[in-house]
Amino acid sequence: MQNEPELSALWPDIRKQGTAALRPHLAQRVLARVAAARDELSPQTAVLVGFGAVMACLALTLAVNSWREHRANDEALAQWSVVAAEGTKLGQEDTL
Amino acid sequence: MEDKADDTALPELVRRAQAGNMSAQNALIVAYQARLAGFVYAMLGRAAPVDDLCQDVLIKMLKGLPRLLDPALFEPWLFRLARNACIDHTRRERWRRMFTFFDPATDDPPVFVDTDKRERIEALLALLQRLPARDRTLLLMAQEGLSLAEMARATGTTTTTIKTRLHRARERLRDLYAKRT
Repeated sequence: MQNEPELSALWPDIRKQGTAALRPHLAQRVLARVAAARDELSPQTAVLVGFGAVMACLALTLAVNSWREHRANDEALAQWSVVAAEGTKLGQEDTL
Repeated sequence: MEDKADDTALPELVRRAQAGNMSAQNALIVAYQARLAGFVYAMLGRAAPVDDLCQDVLIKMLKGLPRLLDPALFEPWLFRLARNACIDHTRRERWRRMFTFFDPATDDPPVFVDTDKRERIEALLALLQRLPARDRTLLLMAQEGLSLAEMARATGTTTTTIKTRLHRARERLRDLYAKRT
């Protein structure tokens, strides 16, 4: 450090000045902030949770739609069976 | 040169802090807060932002600690975080000043050294601010006792490059001193 004697000579005081600028309980404040951040969701986790929720909604909508279509098909089939049965019955009567 | 933590104790302390031991994390912060404060103060030349920046650097340090593969590299890594925080702060301040017509009053805390020393410190810090951030970082890291290899690791260059840059930085500071007097 022989090239900058002033910097070396004043360094302990510079450090003292810097330390004097710190507010009390720095370590506790830092640890508390880190602990609080641990309780929060990380951005990646938040994105994953959001994506998961959207996918679950989509799957539920598809399932409900599919069930409604099946039910409509079953009802139509049942009605058609009745009509077909009646048609067959009328056809048999005509033949007789 | 500096009151660096014991060579064997530091990696062990870092390892315990990495494992989530809160007393080790607390000890690590207490061990480095003064050095960090001095570094940040000299990098910025102002005392007002020192507390906030040190807090941010230490939070980043604790959050990133599990990803630090070699505990022996803790010190260069910490000062790299501090350097980046100071450079980001300076950049933000430059933008803020562009959109602020009146500079708010400085809220620098009181100083605890005698007037003569205070003037010398202020003069030195003003000269340091005239150096490029890269040169300033190297001078201060050298002052903090980091080896050439550690500085190379902290700044992402080679030891030879650091040696040359450090030499030039010292020359520039000497020139500034000569011009001042």
